[in-house]
Amino acid sequence: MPVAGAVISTRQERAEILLAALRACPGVDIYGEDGKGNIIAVLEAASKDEMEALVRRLEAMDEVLHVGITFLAADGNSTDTGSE
Amino acid sequence: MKQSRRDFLKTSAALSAASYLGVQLPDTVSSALAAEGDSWHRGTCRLCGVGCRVELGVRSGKPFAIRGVADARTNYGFLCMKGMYFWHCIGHTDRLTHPLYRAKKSEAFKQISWDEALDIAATAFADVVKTHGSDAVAYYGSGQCLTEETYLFQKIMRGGLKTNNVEGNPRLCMASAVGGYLSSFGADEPIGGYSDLEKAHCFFIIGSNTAEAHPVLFRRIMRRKLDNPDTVKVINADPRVSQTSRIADKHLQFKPGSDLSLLNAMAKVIIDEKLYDTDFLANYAVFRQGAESTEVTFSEYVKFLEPYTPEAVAKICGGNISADDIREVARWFANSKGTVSLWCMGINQRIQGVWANNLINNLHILTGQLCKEGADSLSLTGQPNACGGVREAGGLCHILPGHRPVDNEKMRNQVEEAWGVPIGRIPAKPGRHTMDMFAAINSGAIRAIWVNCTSPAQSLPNCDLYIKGMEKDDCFIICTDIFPTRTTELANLILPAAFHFEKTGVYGCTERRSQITLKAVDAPGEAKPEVWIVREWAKRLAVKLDDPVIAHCVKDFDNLEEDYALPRAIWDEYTQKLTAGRDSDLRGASYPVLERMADGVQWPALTEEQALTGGTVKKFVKGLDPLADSLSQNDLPYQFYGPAHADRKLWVWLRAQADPSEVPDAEYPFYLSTGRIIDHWHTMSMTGRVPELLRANPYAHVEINPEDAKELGVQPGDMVEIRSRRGSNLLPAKIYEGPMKGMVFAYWHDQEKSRMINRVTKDDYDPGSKEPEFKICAVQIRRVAGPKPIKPFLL
Ligand code: SF4
Repeated sequence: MPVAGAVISTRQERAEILLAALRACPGVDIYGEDGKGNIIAVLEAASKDEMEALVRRLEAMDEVLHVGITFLAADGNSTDTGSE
Repeated sequence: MKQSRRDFLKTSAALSAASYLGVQLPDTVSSALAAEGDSWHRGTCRLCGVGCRVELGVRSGKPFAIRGVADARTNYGFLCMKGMYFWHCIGHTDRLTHPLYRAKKSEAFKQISWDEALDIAATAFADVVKTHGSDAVAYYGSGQCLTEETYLFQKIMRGGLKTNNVEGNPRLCMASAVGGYLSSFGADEPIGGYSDLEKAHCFFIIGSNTAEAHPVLFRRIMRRKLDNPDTVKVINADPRVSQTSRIADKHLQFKPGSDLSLLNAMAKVIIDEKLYDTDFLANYAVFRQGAESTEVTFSEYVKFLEPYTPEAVAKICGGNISADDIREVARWFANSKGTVSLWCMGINQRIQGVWANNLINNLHILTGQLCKEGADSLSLTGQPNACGGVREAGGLCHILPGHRPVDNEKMRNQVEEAWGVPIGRIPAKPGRHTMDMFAAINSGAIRAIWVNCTSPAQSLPNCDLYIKGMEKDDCFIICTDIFPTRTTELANLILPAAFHFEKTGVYGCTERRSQITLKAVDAPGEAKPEVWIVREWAKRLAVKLDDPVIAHCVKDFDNLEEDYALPRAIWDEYTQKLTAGRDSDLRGASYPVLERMADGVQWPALTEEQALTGGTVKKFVKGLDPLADSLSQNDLPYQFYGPAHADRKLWVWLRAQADPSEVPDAEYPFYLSTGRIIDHWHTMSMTGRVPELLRANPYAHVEINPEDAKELGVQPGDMVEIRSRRGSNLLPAKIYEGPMKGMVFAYWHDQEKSRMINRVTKDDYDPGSKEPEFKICAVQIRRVAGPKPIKPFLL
């Protein structure tokens, strides 16, 4: 299950519209934005291929100028999930 | 609050994206950002050798956050989770805050005053010197000490106490890279740096899990690849598939220890297919072999490579490698507009570490993938100041400040003159290297040692053997540190040190870049900067040994306040007197210049004017490197003036395949390799105290290939014993298609005794670099029990 951190960029004046669209996207969590059209998002998908497909879908959205991945991790197996 | 691994990864992802923009997330600090009285203090990250620029947020004298800065040339605002969280060590309740002492190691520690502590430290060293001689005392430092600290410690040891028993933990991680650079290029440290990453067209990553050990640089590589998926190639060569492999166009999974063959096979393809750069070789290279560095011809080199056909080597390497894979990656390497190689402990921590470094460097010399944009042979550094402090400022037993070999009389005399100590004061013989130093504690030849900011009881290979010596009362051990460790457990005297941002000083990262961090907050309790501790200790030593030369070593630093004036005076002495005229010339990088230059300065930087441009991005290139211009001897654009090659040439080495020190056999049938995980750092004394990081990976485990696990009857989470000829560990199993079949992998951070993997590793070392072979040994694997609840452990 890959997890990615992303900066999704749009024009400053279109940020609100894009934020609303992204909130409706499965696998996308919004964590914040910088007021200049850059949105901080976390992406989750079931596989590497689905993650690529999700990024491609985001890139294809009308308001999106660029999807910049800043972090990408595959989940470890279930035996080391930090149980105390 | 419990946080799952997945939550942690999501937080990591969000923080990474936020730091890229220089934005704080609401649940971390955003409310604090707006508060009145906040101040942000520039400095570097305390942890790995990438040297990321950070800003520490301080309110009412207490830190509350750290953030990346978008225009930082090292990290463009990006920080990894460790970098995000290290500030939690400031003010942590476990901090050592008072000097602690016990005469015997069986006794409990008692809190004492600094006055008493310094007196005890001076008496202990003075008594040993009087009774057993100067070489019975030793200093063992760290690539995490500030340059000023390493420099002052080694000055007192060499110029004051007349011993070269000065070492540091970079011997365990970087020494083979030093040997490789010196013997291949004639000069230590990389020619280029990080700025090549955005211009490279091919990355050759070998023996490095960059994604976890150097995550911010990995992000730059990943960005380059993602932006140019068709024109940028990434080759990852490693016996283990890791997080780094995920961006690779090709992963070459070779049998541990067969990498010398692989590198020679790539060279053979380059020669056979005439992919080498004829002009570059004619102008700048010679071919050499053997202990005497005998020059040989190109034809002899070609003949030497004959056995390394891709077909033969594919068989030697095993794993998933075909002859065509070797051909293909050799072509990518040679034909790209710029190739950057990156490697780390997988290459360095080997008994053929220097040779493996040479063979990587060979590929760059053969193809001319050096000195131009986007091309470099870039050894990754593990610690934040292994380069700046230990390699450059005299922190190893055979090197004086300014890259001067100890066994060179002229060089020793230069240092003696700079210090104003009598000529002949520094012994001609190099001191004991790390493994020899701890063997000498075992044998009783070293009777007092100062361990500064590192934990050899956990980080030495085959550590049980050396713990036995350290446990004995016939070696007096002083530790300076911020938290209890497996080594402070063995100490007589523990001195509480100030942490990063609690003191002022300079770190020099992987790419020859020196950056200053100014004191921003007070150290807790009575913790003190090491420069103050050493100065005060030296003054007492001078009295106890009745030796005015020791007093002279710190005379210029007397009465200076320790938060700024003292480290500045030490830095000035080191840079102005000891780097002048050397390849690591830092005279232009004064404190005021470093304070102005947010990204620091890359050496050589001879003048303030040069330093204020950022220094030298590419060594040896006329027009970019002031020394290449001033030391130029011909019309060629590159001038290899490095101090180790009088012929001013790059040396292509004939280095044959040689086996590791220990290979699997019927009794110990598996290879063991060890390494890092992204959330933790070294012996976990810092990252283990950050709940967010500890929760993500609370204890070590052993990775086992699924095929091996099936044969061994091991299920995920089962408790598995790893046993070598030296010791054993009991670890939960992670079944993972990471290590190749026949190999297991374990993290080395865990402090719990049954999970300290260095009780299992082997302490044989490279005969040239003296760096041990942590990465390869032979072990048995046995399922002991089903899954058991495991608690994280910290001293
Ligand atoms: S990559 Fe290294 S220097 Fe950068 S934030 Fe992480 S630990 Fe610190």
